[in-house]
Amino acid sequence: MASHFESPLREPLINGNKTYKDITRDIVAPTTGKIQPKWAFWTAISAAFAGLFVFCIVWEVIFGIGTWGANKTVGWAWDITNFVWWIGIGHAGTLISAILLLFRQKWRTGVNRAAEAMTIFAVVCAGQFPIFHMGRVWDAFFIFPYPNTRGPLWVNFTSPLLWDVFAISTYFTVSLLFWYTGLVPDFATMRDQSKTPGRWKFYNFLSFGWIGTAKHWERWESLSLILAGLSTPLVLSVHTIVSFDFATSVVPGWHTTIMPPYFVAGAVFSGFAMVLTLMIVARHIMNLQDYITLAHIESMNKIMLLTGTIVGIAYLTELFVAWYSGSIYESYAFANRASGPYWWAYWSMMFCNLVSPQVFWFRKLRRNIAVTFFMSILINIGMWFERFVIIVISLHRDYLPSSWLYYSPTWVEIGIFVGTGGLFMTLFLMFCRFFPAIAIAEVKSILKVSGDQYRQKQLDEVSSMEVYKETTVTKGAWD
Amino acid sequence: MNTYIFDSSTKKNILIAFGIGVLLLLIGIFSYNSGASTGHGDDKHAVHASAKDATHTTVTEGAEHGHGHEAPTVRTALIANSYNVFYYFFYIALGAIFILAAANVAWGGWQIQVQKITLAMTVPIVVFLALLFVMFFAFNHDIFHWTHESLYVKGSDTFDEVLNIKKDFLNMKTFWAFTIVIAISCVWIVIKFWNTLTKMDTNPSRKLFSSSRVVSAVSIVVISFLINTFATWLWSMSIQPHWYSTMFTWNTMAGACVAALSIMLLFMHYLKAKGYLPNVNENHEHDVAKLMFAISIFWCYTWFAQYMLIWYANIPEETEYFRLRRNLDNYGILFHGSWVMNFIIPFFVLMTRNAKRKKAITIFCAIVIILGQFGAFFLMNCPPLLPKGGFGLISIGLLLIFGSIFTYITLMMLAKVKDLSSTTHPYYKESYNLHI
Amino acid sequence: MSDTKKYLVGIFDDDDVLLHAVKDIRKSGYEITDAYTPFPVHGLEHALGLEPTRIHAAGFIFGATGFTVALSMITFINLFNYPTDFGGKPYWGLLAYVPITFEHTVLFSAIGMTVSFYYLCKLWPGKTPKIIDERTTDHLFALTFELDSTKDANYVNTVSELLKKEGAIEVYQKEV
Repeated sequence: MASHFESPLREPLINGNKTYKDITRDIVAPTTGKIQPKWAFWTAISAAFAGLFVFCIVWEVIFGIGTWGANKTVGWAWDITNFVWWIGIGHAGTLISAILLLFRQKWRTGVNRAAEAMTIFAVVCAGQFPIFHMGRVWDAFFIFPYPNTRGPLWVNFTSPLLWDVFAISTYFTVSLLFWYTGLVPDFATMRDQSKTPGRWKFYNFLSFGWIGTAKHWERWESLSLILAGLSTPLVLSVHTIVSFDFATSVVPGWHTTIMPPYFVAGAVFSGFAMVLTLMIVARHIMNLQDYITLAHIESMNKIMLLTGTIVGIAYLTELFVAWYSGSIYESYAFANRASGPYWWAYWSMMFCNLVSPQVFWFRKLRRNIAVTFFMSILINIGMWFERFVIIVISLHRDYLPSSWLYYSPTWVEIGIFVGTGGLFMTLFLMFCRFFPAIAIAEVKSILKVSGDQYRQKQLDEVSSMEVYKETTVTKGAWD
Repeated sequence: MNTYIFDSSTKKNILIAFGIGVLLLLIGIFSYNSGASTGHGDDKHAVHASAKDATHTTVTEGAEHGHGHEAPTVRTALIANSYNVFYYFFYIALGAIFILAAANVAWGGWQIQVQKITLAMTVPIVVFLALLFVMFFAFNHDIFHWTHESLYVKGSDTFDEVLNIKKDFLNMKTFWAFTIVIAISCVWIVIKFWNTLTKMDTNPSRKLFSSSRVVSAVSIVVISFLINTFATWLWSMSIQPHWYSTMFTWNTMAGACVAALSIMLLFMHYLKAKGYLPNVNENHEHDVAKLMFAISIFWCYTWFAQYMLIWYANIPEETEYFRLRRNLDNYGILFHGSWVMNFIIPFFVLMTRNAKRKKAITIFCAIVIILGQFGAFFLMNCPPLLPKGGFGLISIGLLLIFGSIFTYITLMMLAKVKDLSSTTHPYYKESYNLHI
Repeated sequence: MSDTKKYLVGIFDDDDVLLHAVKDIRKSGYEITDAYTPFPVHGLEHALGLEPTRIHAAGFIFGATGFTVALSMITFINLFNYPTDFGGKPYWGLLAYVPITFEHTVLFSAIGMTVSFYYLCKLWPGKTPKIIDERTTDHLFALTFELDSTKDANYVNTVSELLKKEGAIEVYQKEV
């Protein structure tokens, strides 16, 4: 039953001959000791940007939506672009923790905790945009259906925008529950490692008094599995519903049936790009190279290649069917994307999302950290442009040529967007400092299967098989 | 028992299924009553006649003047049904290639013991491609309305403005060019897979293992960009040439994959019952059932997204597709039956862990899915040709006939495999140890 | 505190040894009170003979509740309380209610199940846990045997011997 066999051809996921004890020490280490100046510096900068966010939001609330460039036919512009972009970034966390759990992908254990944290922070950032786009933000609670004194006046359940309210709030809640329940045992580990009573109390409070009995673990595993099973359709539904915001309408360029799955693929694509951007930096700063290995990075690059190509197929399908539909408005919408005044956005999107991930067909480049980092930035930009292309280009020329315009953002919009970046980074840096950045218990549970010191033993088990005759466990034996 | 022997009792059973199929087909042909083959009474028809005529004129405005026959004859029914069955089994084999490729490219360890079944299921694609070619060659005017030259004569009564825009794509030259390229790539992929994976039985080497992954990755790209995309557009979506949907290709592929998995599950249980695959146990069945469950949901997701978006936007060019299919007088039962069979039943039946590990339950679901997907494929291809309904004994008979042929070829190819459980594969031990 | 209990504790440093020990000890007829591990050990709950958890049933029931709540709420509002024509859609446009119904199903199920989990495990923020050994959240595994009035010195000795034979690195008594 307790077979720890895994083909020795698979690359180890925990390097450095770690024991259970080492795992605890290594992951708890970044949260203890004196605050590093590097950390303080970046946190201060991020917090400054978060301050910019607050400033711009206050400005927008005082002086109204007119401070944004969104106007005339371009009623949705940077705000909704950024909303969709942030929501998309959140998707990778749930994908890693839920879908890869169902697919029994062990490499998720190294990155799931941070990616899930990222999900939650990204959703927090995303939520700001539709809320403040309301203008009279003090009436924001009108979006919830509740018996009210305005007569029996209810929200419109037939509107995709309302579906979005439910989707985003459910997604946030469920992600938070999933993430926190996963954290509880690790907080207990942190508690038992703590050396001061204050720290003990802090982590004990967070750990809910977890002690790790067999029954608790059994329930915990069962809960994780079912939450994963729920999160999987949920994560699909969230970006699906975001795509419905566009696709249910009859705006040329928006109404296309492939939107739901391709939005999901694009979301996962951009989410992984963001995970890589953050983790490549975090593993260096926190010395976690043994837990977030090149194998992890390669796997994530493969997923980016896959999802990038799926998105690419969808772009081409849309383009073709726009022509095939025989509808002149639909054809024009796509021709305008490629050759209209915003051609640069369209071709940036095509280049960053479809063309550039193709470098990951080469193993060498998949395993090159510099290339991966550069690509992750490029893809983040590309996916931002995708939303910009869909939203702004489809809207800036409607059926009435006299209201055609060229949209540009104002400083308030730019400030809010850059500011959410600061908010996101502040939250993420706080997370890295105070929370275990890697799922301690889950990494321990795969040690005997995927730890590098066990590969030789596993090879001995199968050495009689002909295919393993010439295999040795040295660096680079796995492909 | 690591080599499958195609014994005479199995052959006899396949022959019986084939015979029943022929019988049903003959009964279907002789009892064919154009326009009422779904078993509706004449009274009901009279009541709904006006509504139906309205639908009919919208959806087949082209078909009327192009085909030159008002009510579908038994000939049309036979052509439509045969074409649909060939297309269905072509897609099942394509789905098998996709599953095989996806499992290999994702380094799936659990499926090593059953991958030879999927491999054998890819081979019938050659036969069904050939049958499709016969249909394209001999009956293209019957199946594809856009092939009629008269539609493109400007100023004539039959001139079709929309099709005139599409004629750069919907013309025989483009059609054959893509069809031939698709056929060549399918055959190439099947041969590559067969050679790589069977060679690993006798000569297990790391090199072959690597090349099996390369073949998988390349075939996924070829299937996604070329085969699936253009096969659905040219062979299926263009049967109703005015209609378009970007989701159509993905919906078809999802349906094909879940049907292929279901058939794979049936083969797996058959081989187990015959005493083969000794180390395949309920854990492997559980994994196959999980995938069936998951892809059923994914299929329904694509189906719902396509249907709901078209319903919501309510654009006449798009809704014509569903107006033809949702009408309770002709295809309504099949239409609603298809999502019940392909989603509701597998979803609720396969939800628990125990259900996924029970042989009888998974076989039941597999059969429901195979029939349900057959219905879904029928709805994609046949309604424009048989606008007044036409799912009946002919369809079932042909499904049985060509299902038997599919089974026969698969088992014949399986008998050629030397190492049924792939015991020499580097991941074999992972599959052997599987415990979930 | 008055509600403390006394335990005999066996500490192990390997999950495979622990699993083996649990099976053997139970075969010898001794009842293990509990096991403490730093991560979920696969198969331990079977070895201990624990009832399989039914938390997923809670998930299903809560999910079904959410489904019903959402659909009946929308039906009530759009069909009876304030029927409104939205873009020519039917008053009861079921297709458009699928997303919200789905989200509610997931939301109710997830919240219900998570709350059930903490309730069943008796975990809450600020709870003071009865920690047997601090190292069991780090790298060691513990088996405990409750020592109530019925257990005599002989019992303690035999079980201690058994634990040591099975590979326990430490055996001690503790009152928590």
